Amino acid sequence: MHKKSMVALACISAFGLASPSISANDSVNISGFLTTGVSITDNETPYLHQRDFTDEINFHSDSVLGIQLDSTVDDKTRVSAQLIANFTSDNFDTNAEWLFVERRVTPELRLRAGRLRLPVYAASRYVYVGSAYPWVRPPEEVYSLLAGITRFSGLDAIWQTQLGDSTFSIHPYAGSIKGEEIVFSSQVVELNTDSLFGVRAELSFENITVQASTIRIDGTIDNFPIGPGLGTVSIESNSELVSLALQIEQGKFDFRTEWANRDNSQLGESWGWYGTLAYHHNQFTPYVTLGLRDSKRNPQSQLSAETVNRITRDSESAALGLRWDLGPKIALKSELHYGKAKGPSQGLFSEYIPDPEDPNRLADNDVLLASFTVNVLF
Amino acid sequence: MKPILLASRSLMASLVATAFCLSVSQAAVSDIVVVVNKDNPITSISQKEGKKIFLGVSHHFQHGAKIDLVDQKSNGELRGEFYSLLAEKTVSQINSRWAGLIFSGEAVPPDQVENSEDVIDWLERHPNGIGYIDSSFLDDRVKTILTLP
Repeated sequence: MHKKSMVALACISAFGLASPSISANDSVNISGFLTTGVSITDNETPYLHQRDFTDEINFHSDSVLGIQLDSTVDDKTRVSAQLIANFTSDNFDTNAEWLFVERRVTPELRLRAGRLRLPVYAASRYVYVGSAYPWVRPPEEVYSLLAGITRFSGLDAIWQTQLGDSTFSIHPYAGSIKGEEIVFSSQVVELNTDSLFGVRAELSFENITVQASTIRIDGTIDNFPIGPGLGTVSIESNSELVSLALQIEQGKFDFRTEWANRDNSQLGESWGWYGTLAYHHNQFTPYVTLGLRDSKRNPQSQLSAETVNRITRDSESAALGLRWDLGPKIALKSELHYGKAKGPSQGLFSEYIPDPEDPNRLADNDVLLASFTVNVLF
Repeated sequence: MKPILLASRSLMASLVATAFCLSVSQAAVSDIVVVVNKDNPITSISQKEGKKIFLGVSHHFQHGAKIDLVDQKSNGELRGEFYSLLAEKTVSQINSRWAGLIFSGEAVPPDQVENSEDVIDWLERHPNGIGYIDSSFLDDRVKTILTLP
């Protein structure tokens, strides 16, 4: 999974992380992951945030390449960088997903500074790493509540301790997001925060892990579309998100569930839930996932009802999948997913194509999505 | 009689073997054992502690030293048997877990070596190392801190 490499050293230097103490003999690990796949739906309306699956075969939207560099500076200090290239919308975007310096202050306490991953959901810390979870992709009902924001710049602290047989950790963080482009209803908007802070707590006991997390993001969204043909504005956006996750691994069964509620000053309140039951049998892991998303509108919102229809994701879904670990570093996954938008909402579709008879309803509000991915570690 | 009934397979096997021939007691049955460098002050760990170490939850020995983990390459049978006995997990669950730990920046990947002999060589060079081997390869450069039932 890792190689001592002069290339890694060159890359670390290129990121300005070089320290005079790093030499080719020091431990510099370079490792990576790659997911690529193919998907098709039975609906011409693009489906899933920033993936836009349709009834035309799609080879690019699940593709992601990650390169990670880890280097130990001294006994207590290390640097880590992760570059992510994803191929969404046929563009090849490369970003430093994280780039941080970590100092272990005591065996139980670590402090980090730099660009960091937002640790909001149970799988947030490895959201792009297909090999780390059973699904083809993390359930959209929960993982799209913050419009796909995954990183921030700032500081965090991770304190982990043993309480008898259980392990407890608490992870507060604070920082900012500047000029991050996010996609709302196929429109690229820009997020700038005035303040961002949150905390995540995790308790593991035997085969049970519970996570609770909350985050508050206050800022502005620029280029926000106020309605079809009405142009864009800058709006104030204050979001608060609370999430709870539970995982139980009992013998060969693996059950995980997560609920999250986001309250936004413009968009109102939305919550998402999923439950997944997986069964490990040798190298095969079949699983079933159910998902729900619902919302409560904010009557004080500056946005029109049509706009709210287009940004609410009220929906239900069910998926049946199979992960097949061909080897230690390669896993194949296939999944059949059924999704349905509820009421006038856009559901998990990424565009609103209205019914010609009723503009407050989707022309075709349900979808069957078939996906196949290859997930490789190197 | 109860403690004897509850005694591990290894202990009973050793007793039987010892009764017949002391010299073959080690070779007669091989267990999977968790081993450390012979100079490590640690003398034993519980299975729960072992599970936490090899699942990447604990990073330090009881005496405070930072743990260096060594794993065996995935193509051998020993790795699958080890994780199944230690944590009741399949190799794919372990691979999946470590992918999550490494690519979340939470842990540095453990070194991986070919086999039990290489684990011993590796432990000789890493005073704070911990690994697992087939007990038939045990020698005086390492000491056993946990025998898996």
